[in-house]
Parts: sequence; C-alpha cells; structure tokens
Amino acid sequence: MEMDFKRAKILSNYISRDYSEDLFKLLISYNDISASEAASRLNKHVRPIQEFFEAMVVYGIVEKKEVYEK
Amino acid sequence: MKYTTNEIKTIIMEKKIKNRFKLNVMLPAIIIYIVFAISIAVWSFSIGIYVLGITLIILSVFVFYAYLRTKHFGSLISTVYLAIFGSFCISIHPYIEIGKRLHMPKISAILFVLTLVLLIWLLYLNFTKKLKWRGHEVLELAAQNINDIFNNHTERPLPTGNVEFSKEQLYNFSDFFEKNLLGLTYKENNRIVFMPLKYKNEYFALYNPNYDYKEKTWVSISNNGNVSVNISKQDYLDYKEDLAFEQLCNSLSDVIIKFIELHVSGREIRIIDKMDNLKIGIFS
Repeated sequence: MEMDFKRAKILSNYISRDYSEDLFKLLISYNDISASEAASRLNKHVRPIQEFFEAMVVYGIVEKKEVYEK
Repeated sequence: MKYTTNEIKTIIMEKKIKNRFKLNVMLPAIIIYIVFAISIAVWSFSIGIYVLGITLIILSVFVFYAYLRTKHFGSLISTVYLAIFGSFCISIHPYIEIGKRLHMPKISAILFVLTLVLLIWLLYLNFTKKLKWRGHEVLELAAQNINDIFNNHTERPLPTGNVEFSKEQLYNFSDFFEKNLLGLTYKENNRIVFMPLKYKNEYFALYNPNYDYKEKTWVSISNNGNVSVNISKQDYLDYKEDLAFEQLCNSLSDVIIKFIELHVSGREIRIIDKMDNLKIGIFS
C-alpha cells in the first residue's frame, strides 16, 4: 500500500483510536459486521464507528458490501 | 451495509503460543544420516548406501503404522517414498565404486525417477501444510480471544457444557480429525476424546503403547453430550502468557464444537481455512 505523508497521517489518526484494535478484532471474528452492530458491541456511538469504517474503506483496508434482507 | 476485511487478519491476530522451531521434526532424518555417516566411516560408501536403504525401509514401516492409525493420505505417500527410496539405495549399492562412473541398472533408474516424483509431491504437501500436525493451530485458535491474564491452571478436567451430536457425527468428525492431522482421538466406552497433537508430542503419542493421553490436552464428549476439557501444564506454559484458564478451556471446547458443527454441515474446508489463516510455520 503506497501513500503520501498526508494520507498516512490521517490513517494513523484513525488507527490510533482506542477502539480501532477492538473493531478489527470484531471484523475478523464476525467476517462481516455493520457499523451499528460493532458500535453496540463496543458500547460506542454509531457515528464515529461508521466514520472509522468508511475511512478504512477509502484506504482499501476494509471492504463495504450491500446486504439485502431475504 | 456491512464491512469486511481480509487485509489485516495476519496483523491483528497476535500469536499467543511461543513460536519455536522444533528440532524433533527433523529427528528421523538426523538419525538416518548419522547411521549413514557411521556406516561409511566403519565400512565403505557402498555399504553406507546399503545401510541407508535398510534404515529407510525400517522407517517406512513406522510411517505406515502412522497411516494405519490416522488414515492420513500424506503418511501413505511418505511410506511409499521411503520404501522406494530405500529400495533404490539397496538396488544401487553393488554398482557404486568411488572414482568410477556409475552404471545404473534399469530397475534402479525406474526407482530413482519414482523417488524424485514422490519427493516433489511430498515437498508440495509439506509447503501446503498437509503433512503438519495441527495441534498448534487448534490451541492458538482457542487462545485468540482471550486477553485476561492470571495463572489459575489446574491439572483437573473442566466441564464446559453440553452438546447434541449423534455418535455417528462424532465418529465421522473423529475420522476427519485424524485424517487431517489435527490430532488423535480415543474412543472410550462412554465418551470420545479429541487430543490436538503438536509436533513436540507426535512420536510418543503414535508409537508409545503406554502413552497416557489423559495427562495431555484434550476435549472429550460423552455419550450424553457432556463436554470436558483438560489442558496439560506443558501446553499451558507454551502460551506466551498465563491466560485465564477457565476462559481458555471454554474457548478450546468452543473451537472443537465449532469444528464439529462445520464438519456436520459439510463445510470442513472452513476448518482448514481457519487454521491456515493463522499463518503458523510448517515446522511449528
């Protein structure tokens, strides 16, 4: 993954958040998880969690997939 | 909207077991080549090759016994490889004279080609972890979600719950467990015992008729579905830290139950995927 200093700085800002490791562990344990479910499991508000995931999507670390109700 | 990742699995999954190269993986090879070297020193190079051939054939009998115990396909390939390589050495030894060009009889040439083909096959199986005992991975998976640290290890088995699998499902999983070298299983009158096997213990477990598996790490499921777990002190100390023991036992039980569920639902490949995702070395 190549990136310039500015982008690395933004990424490190997200990665250094106290809940980032727990979020990644949840992603690995559940294979896929919604922002609201992750937020409720970590007892956090959904907005920063969604923002975190969206940032990870931009950096290619996390993928986003649409889920339709069956 | 859901989020998923494959990028960071190996970064985040911190290894909980000490990763040490186990010399005993190489023990048969070391013994063979010591015997070979001594034979050359005492007699001649030709006799050394003959002794090497005999030793390889004796070893093939041991590996064949491992195949009979586990029905692991790689052990059968290893048996054939060792027997053919040994036969090649025996067939060629009268024709070896130092300083002269070797005239290989036709049968030796055929054995040589077969040996090479099997060697390449075995190397492939080795690098794809098909020849590896997977107990290390099973114990690593059990420890993945445990972060609490305090030493409360006990030598007694811990009851961890109850499951509803039929005897047939458990016996089928037991075949899978052994065939894929996750470990050995012991079928007792009232329960079945799954013992994850690491490289450190495999020779004793396979070839010692008095091997006391009850002192080792295992998960047992009784006929009425009661699950018990025992973690040996040695395996507990192999973890980098003193993980919370009850949580570890429950987690090991969960791993085995999850594996059985995956096996029952025909998704055995996911069991192998879970272990491969840990990226543990082939000699660990």
